[in-house]
This record gives sequence, structure tokens and C-alpha cells, in this order.
Amino acid sequence: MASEQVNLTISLTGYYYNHWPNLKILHNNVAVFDQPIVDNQLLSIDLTCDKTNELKFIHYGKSFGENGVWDSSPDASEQCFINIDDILFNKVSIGETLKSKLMFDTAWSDLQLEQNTQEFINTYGKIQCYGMMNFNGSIVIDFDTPVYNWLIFSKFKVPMTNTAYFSNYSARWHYEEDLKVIDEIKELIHFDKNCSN
Amino acid sequence: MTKTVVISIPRLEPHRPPPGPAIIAKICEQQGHTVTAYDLNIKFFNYCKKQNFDYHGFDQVWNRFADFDAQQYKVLEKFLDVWCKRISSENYDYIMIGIFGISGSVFAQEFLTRLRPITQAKIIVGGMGAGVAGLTDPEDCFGYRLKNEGLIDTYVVGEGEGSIVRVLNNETGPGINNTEVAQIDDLDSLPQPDYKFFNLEEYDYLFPNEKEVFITGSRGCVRKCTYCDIERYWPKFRYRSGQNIADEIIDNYERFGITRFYFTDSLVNGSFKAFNDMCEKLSRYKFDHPLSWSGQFIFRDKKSIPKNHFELMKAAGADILFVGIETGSDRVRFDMGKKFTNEDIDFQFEECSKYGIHVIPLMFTGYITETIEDHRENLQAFQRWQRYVADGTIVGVELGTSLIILPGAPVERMIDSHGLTFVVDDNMEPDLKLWWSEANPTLTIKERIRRKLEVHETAIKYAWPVWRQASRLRELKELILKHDLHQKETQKFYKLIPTENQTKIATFSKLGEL
Repeated sequence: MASEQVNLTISLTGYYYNHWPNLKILHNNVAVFDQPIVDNQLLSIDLTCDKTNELKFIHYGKSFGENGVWDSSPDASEQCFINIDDILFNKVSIGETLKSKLMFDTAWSDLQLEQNTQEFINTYGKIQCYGMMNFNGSIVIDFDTPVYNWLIFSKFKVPMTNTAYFSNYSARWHYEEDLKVIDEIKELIHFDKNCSN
Repeated sequence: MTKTVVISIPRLEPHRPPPGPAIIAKICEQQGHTVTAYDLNIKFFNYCKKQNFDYHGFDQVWNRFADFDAQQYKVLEKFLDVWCKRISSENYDYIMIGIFGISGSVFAQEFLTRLRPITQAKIIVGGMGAGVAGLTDPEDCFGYRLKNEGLIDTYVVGEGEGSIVRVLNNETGPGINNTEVAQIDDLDSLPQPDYKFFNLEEYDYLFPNEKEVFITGSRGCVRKCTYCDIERYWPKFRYRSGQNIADEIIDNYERFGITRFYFTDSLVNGSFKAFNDMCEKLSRYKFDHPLSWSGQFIFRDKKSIPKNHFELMKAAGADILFVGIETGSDRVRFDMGKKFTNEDIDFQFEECSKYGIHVIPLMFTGYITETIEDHRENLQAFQRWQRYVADGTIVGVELGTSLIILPGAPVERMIDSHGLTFVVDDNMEPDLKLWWSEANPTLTIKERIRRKLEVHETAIKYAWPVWRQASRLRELKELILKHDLHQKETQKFYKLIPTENQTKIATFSKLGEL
């Protein structure tokens, strides 16, 4: 299977309370980073990617009362947490659209499950987080290669609307009709094999 | 008092009011006329919408690729009957009709055929569509044909601001019932389009609640790209001062709350000084609502671009730049008369990316000197600049048609030097898309089609924002079928024989079989 080298740049901010927050990053279940995030950090990681890939950001080690330790102030105004400010694949940002789709999957501790209501657990078990990792838990991004194609389709392709043909921006990346007519032309004209590619 | 109606007709985009009629209406008002203006394009758009009928389904008819179907004709007839009766009943002295381009000719013919018998008004047509002609007889333009058929009194070709006043004074001259070009040098002295004549609430704006209008900062082009026929219509490049353009934008913002502007210029930055002045003025003006403008833009040699130029453009409201990069081959681009390289493009894409300015590259394949190596370089461009698609800088790409030998374009004057020959239709009219060059013999018609498809497929492979190209492909298929290109192994080509001074426009009028 063909692989693609992808440079991942991650802009992060760590917020201190008792300690700096811990972050582990897994690429296809292999750890590529595992360190505390101190203030603003810019990580650059080179990945050898498959056709389909999973990138997992795991925030761990935050205490919610275990052994009487709370990694947040009593009024929760100060916390130990991580914010993913941006993720860039080969220097291109995932952008606001993809960032707004990031979901945080909370890894509850036994104590949290005991201390919180079921409604709370249900509400905060999986949340749209815009890159914020407040509880222990993870954010997963599934991506494909070629990575730019994945970024382009994920960020920009929208369902086609019925508007003026010459200004229908929603028709972009809907190649079906183009490919159909290209095939029709190729059926009419049989080109020689000595093409340029 | 003289009563005048100024009318624009389909096909126009329904997203903005038409500027030409807005200028002519203003001039007639300045001449003391009582002026009404009707944009029948937007009226027809809204009429179709009300009838739940597909306005855009008429595109193939306006493009003259298809005839009306029965239902379409019925809808059009009803619309025209209502409007012709109304216009006739309003007893105008003058009916002035703007035909935007060749895509207005079918509607114009249908409209005038009904209107002419029921009005005593003098009918004058103008606009680019009035001057559209073929390669072999430039005088045989659409306006000339309408006049010959008795459907109009006068046609105006070229810039109408001066000509229309002469027509009203019963004078003749260049551009009045002929295709001579009369240019106006001082654009700052011309009246600006006045959109008070139109109902600005009727339009199908691209961004809801954001009114958009056209604006013209210059006429003609500072460049002489070999494939472009702009010099036929506007031989000399003229431009308004930056202050004058900024004033029009601010005036439209203050009077009508218009926040989006689309430049009709061949190049919005054709005059670097005027463009820079406009940007400085706009960047300093305190708009309550963000302003944006789009238009065709020339990339330049990066050494000639001042520092912070793109930053200033962004501050002035630059949104989408339509840039003719044409090809990924530096050699071919230079042959076309465009003196910038792929490295210059790299730099300017990067600047646009940095400041959040969007770009729509305009490209085409099969220039007369394009070799297979050039074509390969062209294909590589899609990978080279894919990053700017991914980061949202490139928001569309126009893949164009193959090269058309346009009358009046510099490439027309290269017919002899490159040994160009043409396929002709049943009337022995050369098809300007179907040419072959003795100087580049491997670039056959079939090879150009193959390259076009390969470019299209490569753009798709790299996920470029190709759109509105399916219609171009369908046109190509129609062309193949029309000329049996799929059945004939070889085509019969005909040579255009020059009749007089070849430096003149459209001098090729006879055909000789090779």
C-alpha cells in the first residue's frame, strides 16, 4: 500500500494547576508524542501515513478528587487543561469548519462516575469541544491520504444547491457530471495510448 | 419632454443590476429626458421563479446550442407579450436596449420582432452584443443585421456614453451604425452608473442581504495577451483615477448600502498607481460594514511588487481575484505575452494566503506553441499549487476552452507566420476553435481535445475546485459531433487568405482549400 509522508504541526496551550497537563498523541495506535504541555507549544511530527489513518489526542493524569487531589480551583476558575489551538497537515490548517467538528470523548474515572449524576455523565460524555480538553479523555481525527484531498473535501465540499449555474459555488467538488461527459467524449474519440503520463 | 426607456435583456447574471443601462439612463436624464429603466433580465428571472420554471434551462438556448423547447417558448412568449404591450402603451420616444454579449442575441431577436410592429419609438441597441461579428466580415455584426431586418433604427458599437448623445442629436460618426471604435480618453469625466433607476431589492444577490453592483475602473487592457481580442473593442487602455473609483464605491455604499463590488475591468490593477491609490483611499475610509470587491487581476514579476501590497489590498476590501495564470508552463505563458513565472505565482499565492485574499485562476490548454513538454508542466501545476486549494486561497478554477483564434486578437495576426488552417462549416465559415498549425504539427485538434480532458482529470485528481465546466465539456462534445471529429481520421483544413494589410483587424475574408 502506498504511504505518504505527512508533517503534522500542532499548536497547543497548556494551562497549569498543580501540574502541567499531560498529552499523548497516537497515530494509528502508535504513540508519537507523550509529554506535559507547558504554556504555548508548537509540535512538529513527521508521520508515515496509510490510506486511512487515526490520530488520537489523549489528555490524561488530571485528578478529580482522587486521593483528595483536585487539579482545579474550588470555583473551577483555574484548571489544568489543554487547548488544541490548531492542527496543520503539511502546513495547512484544518480550519474553523473541521475544528468545530472536533468531539471530545470523556474518559470518566470511577470516582467521577460515582460523584456525578447520570444526566451530567450523559451530557459531558461526548461533547463538541473546539479543541478544548478539560476532562481526561480523547479527541480522534480520522483522516485519509492524499492528505490535501482529504482536507479539501472535509473543509469545503458542501451539498449542491439549486442556484445560478454560472455562480453556483456549491457545485465545486461535485465532479460527477464532468466525469460523465469526459467518459462520453472518450467513448466518441479513442485516443492513442502514447499519452503524456 | 422626451420620454425614454432603457432596457437590459437576458442573458445577464441575476446577481447584480446592469451598469451599462444605469449609465445610459443617467446620460439621458442629463439630456433632459424623462427616463424609465427596465431590467428585463431580472424581471424574467423572477417571472420564471414565480412560474416555477427553470430560468437557467434557457442557457443552452442563449448560447445557441439548442432551440427552445415548446414549454420554454410558451413561457418566453407570454413574458414578451406582457412587456411589449406595456412598453408600447407607455409611448416612449426612444427605446434603448442593451445587449450584453452574444448570449443576448436570441432574446433580442424575439423581443424586437414583437416590439417593433407595435411602437412608433426610435429603437436603439448597444452593448457588446450589438457589435458581435465573425472573422470573415467584421461589418456583418448583430446590430447591422437587426437594422437590415428593420427591427431597429440605430445600433451603437463600442463606448455608448458619447455615441448616444450624438445619436440623440441626429449625428453620425464612429460606432454609430458601423463598427468603428470611438474611445473616450477621460473616464473620470463620465457619469457613474446610477442604480436609482433599478429596484435593488429584486436581485438574486450571492450573499443574502448584501447588495452587490458592478464597477468599472478601466477600459481596455494594459497587456496585449496574444489570445485576447480586447484591443478590437478598446484599442487603447484608459483608466480612472483611484480617487474617482473609490468615490463611486463610497457613494454607492452611502446611498444604497451596497457593500460588495465586482470590477468589470480586464485587469483591476492594470494601472498600478490608480489601483494603489484606490486601495489607500478605501483602506482609510470608515465603513460601518465590511466592504469587499472582486475582479480580474494580473500577477506581476514579484520584484516589482511593493512590500505590504497585498496587506493594503486586504485592508481595502480585496476578496476574490480572478487571475489569468493560463498554464503551468513558463515558456507558453511568455509566448502568450504574460511576463511572469511560476515562481512569481508561488509568491503571489503565498501573499494572498497570508492575508486571506481568495484567487480563482483562469487557465486554458492548447495554445498554438504548446508542446507535449509544456503540457506536462501544465499538469504539474495542479500538484504544485494544491496547497493553496487546501488552505482556501484558491476557491475556484476556470479551465476554459481550447484556444480560439478570435478576430482582432494578436493571434489572428499570427495566422500566416504559424501556418494556421481551419476546418469550415457548410457555409465555408471557418470554425475558430478548429485550427491546425504547420509550425506545431503534433498539436492536432484531437491532441488538443486529449490534453484538455487530461488537464480536467488532473484538476479533479488534485481536488481543485472545478465548477461550471461540465457545460464547457458538453460544448466540446457538441463540437466533436457537429464536425464528425470522432469519425474522420483526418480533417480537411482550409487556409484563410489575407486580403489586405494584415496588421488590421479581421482582414482574412477569403478561403482557399489547401
